[in-house]
Amino acid sequence: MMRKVLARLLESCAKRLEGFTPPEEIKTTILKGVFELRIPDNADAKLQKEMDDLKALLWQLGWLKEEQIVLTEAHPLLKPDENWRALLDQERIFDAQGWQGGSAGKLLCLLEESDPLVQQAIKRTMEALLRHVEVKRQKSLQKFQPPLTRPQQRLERYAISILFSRYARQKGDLRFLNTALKMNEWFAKQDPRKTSMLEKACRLRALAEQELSARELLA
Amino acid sequence: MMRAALIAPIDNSLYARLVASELQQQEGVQLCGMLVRSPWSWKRLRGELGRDGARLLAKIGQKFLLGDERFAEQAGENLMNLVRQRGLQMDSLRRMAREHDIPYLQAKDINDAASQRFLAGCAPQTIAFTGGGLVRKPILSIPEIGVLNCHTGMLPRYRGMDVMEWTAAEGQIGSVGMGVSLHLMDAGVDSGAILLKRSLTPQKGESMQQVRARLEVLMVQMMVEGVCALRDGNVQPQAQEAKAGRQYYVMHSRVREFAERMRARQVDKR
Repeated sequence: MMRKVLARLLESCAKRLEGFTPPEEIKTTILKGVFELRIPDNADAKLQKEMDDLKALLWQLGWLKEEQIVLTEAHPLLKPDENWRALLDQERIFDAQGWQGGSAGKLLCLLEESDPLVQQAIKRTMEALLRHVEVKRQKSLQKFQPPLTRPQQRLERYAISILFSRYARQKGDLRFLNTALKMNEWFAKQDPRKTSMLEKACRLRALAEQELSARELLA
Repeated sequence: MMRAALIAPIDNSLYARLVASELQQQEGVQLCGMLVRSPWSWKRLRGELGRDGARLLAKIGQKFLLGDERFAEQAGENLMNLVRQRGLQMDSLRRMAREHDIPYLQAKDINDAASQRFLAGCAPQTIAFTGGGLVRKPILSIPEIGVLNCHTGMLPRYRGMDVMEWTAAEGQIGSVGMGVSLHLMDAGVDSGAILLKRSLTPQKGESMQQVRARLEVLMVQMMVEGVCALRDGNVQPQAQEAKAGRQYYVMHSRVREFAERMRARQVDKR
């Protein structure tokens, strides 16, 4: 009898701990976060671009009642150059040395490219990245090439979560959204509360991108 | 005579006990050793906590506190009903090993040197793997035929974790089906050559847990059938094409809720 009661207790604890944040609560977090981010007029281009992309996502989600906002062109630094494309072909974006910093943004730029060879290279890299994050979990994405500062590492991880969500939506592959959901929960627990505006905006964009994919794939 | 060894996740695993008992009763099959993973290891606890998260609490409650009793309130086909049908008396693998004079070893790590020595000493032609974590190359290479694993999903399409739920989430219950695949283990994840596959049709109103319970019964039957087929030489393992499937990972609870809705959509409204 006692064992049965204890087993039930453990089961209900597990259910409570395993439960996910309801989408409505995530929506509130994002909108509150956007409202609280007071971007100065002289904000740098990176931050301004991040906010524009975030607003475009909120518009797509129907959470902003403004006129249509479209995604702007990628920052020139994010556009994949020849050297980076060579690394992608050689499957060296993600190898034993670590993840090539800045690659998440570059992969995002390439997602729409129609060349089948590029798409195959992206697929291989995405599968390797998915496996790494799922196997190493909170200890994943610790090695970057070239080495990144802690805030840069956090920005790259947000970018990878965004990449997973968008790739899931583009390919209709729930596995990538599944991993993005986990990553965004880990970030909420492990990342410092006091961060730069750019980091805050990126984190909110990762959540918004996740919600847009969830709306399409989990409906 | 087919010499078969067994690897089990814990000493009182009902699945492992049923497989062992069924193999023991087969003519021309000799159960030549049992390697059981000890539940009390910090490495194991850490690994399972990382993989299962909070779900580990429920697992501990079910397996350690309730044991076989966990099936008592379950309706329909399940391992406990199979135990009753077969009149299985034995409550642990250790006891069975003692009664039938089968070499037995409990190890903290099924891949350590002691486990390797033990299994090599048993000289099995095949090993029935019923759980216990990743099996490394030195163990995989011991039996001449290979290590058999029953995967709760249809290979090659669904490899990895929670694949029953993933099948439902991807709307594939009707086309791919929910089932069990018996395969030889290799260094990859559920990527070894397939021996047997069988699927079942989920019934209206049947929960995932109930479907899983039915699949567990199928797993026992297929493991024994596989060993006997290897003994008789009437099964030809079919290699899997790497590209024919995808690897799946532990499902997030939000996706799990969606999978349950998708199961209902595909099964209950049929």
